[in-house]
Amino acid sequence: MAGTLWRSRGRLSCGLVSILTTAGIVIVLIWESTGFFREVSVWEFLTGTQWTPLFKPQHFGILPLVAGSFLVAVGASLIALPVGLASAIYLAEYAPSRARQTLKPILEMLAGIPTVVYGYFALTFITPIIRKLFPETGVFNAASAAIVVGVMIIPMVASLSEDALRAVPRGLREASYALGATKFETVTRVAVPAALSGIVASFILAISRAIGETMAVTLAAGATPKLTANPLESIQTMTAYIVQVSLGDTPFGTIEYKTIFFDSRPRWRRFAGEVFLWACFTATSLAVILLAILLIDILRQGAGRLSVDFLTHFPSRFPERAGIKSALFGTMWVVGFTGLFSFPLGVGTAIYLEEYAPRNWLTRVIEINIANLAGVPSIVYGVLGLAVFVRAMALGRSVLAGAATLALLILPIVIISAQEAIRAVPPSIREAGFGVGATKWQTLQHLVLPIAFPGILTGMILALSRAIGETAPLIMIGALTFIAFTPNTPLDEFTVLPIQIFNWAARPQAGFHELAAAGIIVLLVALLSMNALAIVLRNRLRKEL
Amino acid sequence: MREHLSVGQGVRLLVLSLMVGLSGGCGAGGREAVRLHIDGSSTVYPITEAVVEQFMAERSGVQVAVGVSGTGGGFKKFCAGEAEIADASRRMKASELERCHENGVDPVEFPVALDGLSVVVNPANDFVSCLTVDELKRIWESGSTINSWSQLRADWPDVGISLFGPGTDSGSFDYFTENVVGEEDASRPDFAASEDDNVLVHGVSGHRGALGYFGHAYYVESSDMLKLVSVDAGSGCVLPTAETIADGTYEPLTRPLFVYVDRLALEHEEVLYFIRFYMENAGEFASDVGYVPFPPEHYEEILSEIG
Repeated sequence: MAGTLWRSRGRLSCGLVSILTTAGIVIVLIWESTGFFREVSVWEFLTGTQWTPLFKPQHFGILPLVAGSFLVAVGASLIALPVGLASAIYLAEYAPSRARQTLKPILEMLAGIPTVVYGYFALTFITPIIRKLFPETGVFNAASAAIVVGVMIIPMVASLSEDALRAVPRGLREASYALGATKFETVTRVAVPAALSGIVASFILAISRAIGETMAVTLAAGATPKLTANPLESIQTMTAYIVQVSLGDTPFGTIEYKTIFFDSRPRWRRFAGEVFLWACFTATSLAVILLAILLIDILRQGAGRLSVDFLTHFPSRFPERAGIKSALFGTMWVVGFTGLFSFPLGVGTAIYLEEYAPRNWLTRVIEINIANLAGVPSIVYGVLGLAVFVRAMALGRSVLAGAATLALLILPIVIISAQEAIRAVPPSIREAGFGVGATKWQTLQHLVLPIAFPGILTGMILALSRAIGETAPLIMIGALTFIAFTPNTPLDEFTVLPIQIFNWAARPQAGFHELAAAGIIVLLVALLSMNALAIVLRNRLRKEL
Repeated sequence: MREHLSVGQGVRLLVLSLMVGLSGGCGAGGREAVRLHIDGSSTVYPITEAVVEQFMAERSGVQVAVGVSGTGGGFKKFCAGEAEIADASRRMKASELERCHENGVDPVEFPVALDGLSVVVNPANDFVSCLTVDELKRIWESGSTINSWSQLRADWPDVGISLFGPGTDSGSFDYFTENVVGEEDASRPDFAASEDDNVLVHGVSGHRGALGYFGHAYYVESSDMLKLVSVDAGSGCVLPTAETIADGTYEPLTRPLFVYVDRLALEHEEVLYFIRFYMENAGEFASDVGYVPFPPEHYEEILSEIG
């Protein structure tokens, strides 16, 4: 029977994909670190308090790095989790639909700004403010890094949590109103708890990213470069812990049965609702204002350099003649292939894990591991890409090698968000499918996936946005800096926008700094138009449940 | 030149011929362009970039791609045969040379320009104007306990020293530690390091007690935010300027910048042509981007040597 054949093939291929990806990543990461542990004892690594691998005398104590990561991650979470969640609540529950349709893409755009840009933003904007308030602060400080990383991960929390909130069936809200609950009570006691699994997933992704962030923290906190070049998995361990803790008490599908307790004082109820709405609105505004400051700062510097010539010229040693053509083409090639690789792999894995994988320890290990991979610093993927794609598979410093590396990097984001989207489809839809005699695969194909698709697409957009702005792993695999030609085949060399921007920003002459700002504007426009396309698709596909 | 080629060299020659060669036969109308790969130091990069840009404008049919992986990273790729030319802000080490030879790569060294690592303090610092090499060493050596300017000279105020320097992967760090501290890579770890010299400029200009060092080009571009310190190597205080760097009196922080080429690649017409072009223009482009050229004889000598 055709249905049976489809079903078994679908199951088989998806299963293989997830296992291969996970195993492949883990094996290479372990492989990369064994050489290190042959030279340095695990005990010294874990308990040493000095980290100076490139200095003489050498010390390999990881504690300073752990403490630093922890400080930045906690600080960033304190900013991003409340602001992001409040923005999500405002967008999903309160904002008029037109405001939502404008604000959400803007927030998602924040995710695509290269992390290098956030680093300079911290250094030139946030740090001076901190130093004015607390004159004792150094130019490089953890507070500035924490704030800027917090700003950086707000969109991830806001966008994914908003999707989770919107996926809560309307029936739940109506039931709550029918019991006499106010909007505030419905939101905080019904919608948010019901969406908790998605919200927690967005928290995990965001915190993981905060811990794994390299470029922005290096610039803002003035960390030693060793931190970026050789993070050696301390961070992985921390992430593993976070993920286990968070996944451990993520309840979903049970909230419908919770009793709802209402406060019976009407005036207090209305007042609390007002305060809550304003808090959420303020949070959203805060996110938008921060983006606006960042954008104005960039526009002010770069607008003068924008022209048709800038887009159609190759780089030059004369700022007035330099253009961004090779980087623009390189980015399009690389991101195109990254999407081609990561979409089927990621969505396939998510389908397998959600629908077919048996609920046993192995599946759980795979899930924890995928979430864990989301927190691996991007530069580690560069090490992996260099070993596997550039050297072992002999792809060289080609578009294919770069795209394959970035595809692995964004895979956890694609998988986790796709899983969330699939999970958010109400059981009644599946039951209806089975009720009319559809097979599991038919139900998936015709009912579940179409409903989950907008959510999957959001995850994909965010993931590709991240790929566009990613610098560290591509520098690691050796993407080039000065290229006055564009790729003709996927096996050609390339450069990408963030690398070109980074290169210009690091030059001493002010003219190149303006070029860097202009490059960022181009990057943002490219990102916006890509997002706009996907968002139009998403809005068209999204059905009110 | 060598009489016998090892197997590795034979293979490399073959690959090179496939990669670079055959172009003569194709002529100017051939679709396949010759492609050259350069990688290495970010300090040398601005000169190489200028040369490449000008070269490609004059010689169509040759495509040159430049990467920036730092001096060490560039040598790694160069010795693995992944790049025909390496940019370097320090000499190749013996261990790197060995690796090159293992892979049948025979490096030829070309000094292209001079740079004076510049020591800078905050403009508000009105007491430091000259430091001896020994004082620099006492500040930067590993295990140093000097945390205040008053510890260095009794008549200086008790202002905390905050240190800024190039990242440990850079040739500048290698050069400074070797020539000031006395042992390569021996440095105190508690300084703010960045591969991006603009970040260092920011750091020094933001702290009253700051001390930092980086390539001269970065000082020249940001001189209004920094105060240059002269260095005393035993024969008086010398400020790094185009003159003192060119005549070598700015000691010991004047350093040559290099490009390295595989001797086998150099036998190729296009590569040779590129290097000739580099040597003819290096002096002019070096001063354009803030470095100091060698005297013209230096370049002429190299040109007559490579023919």
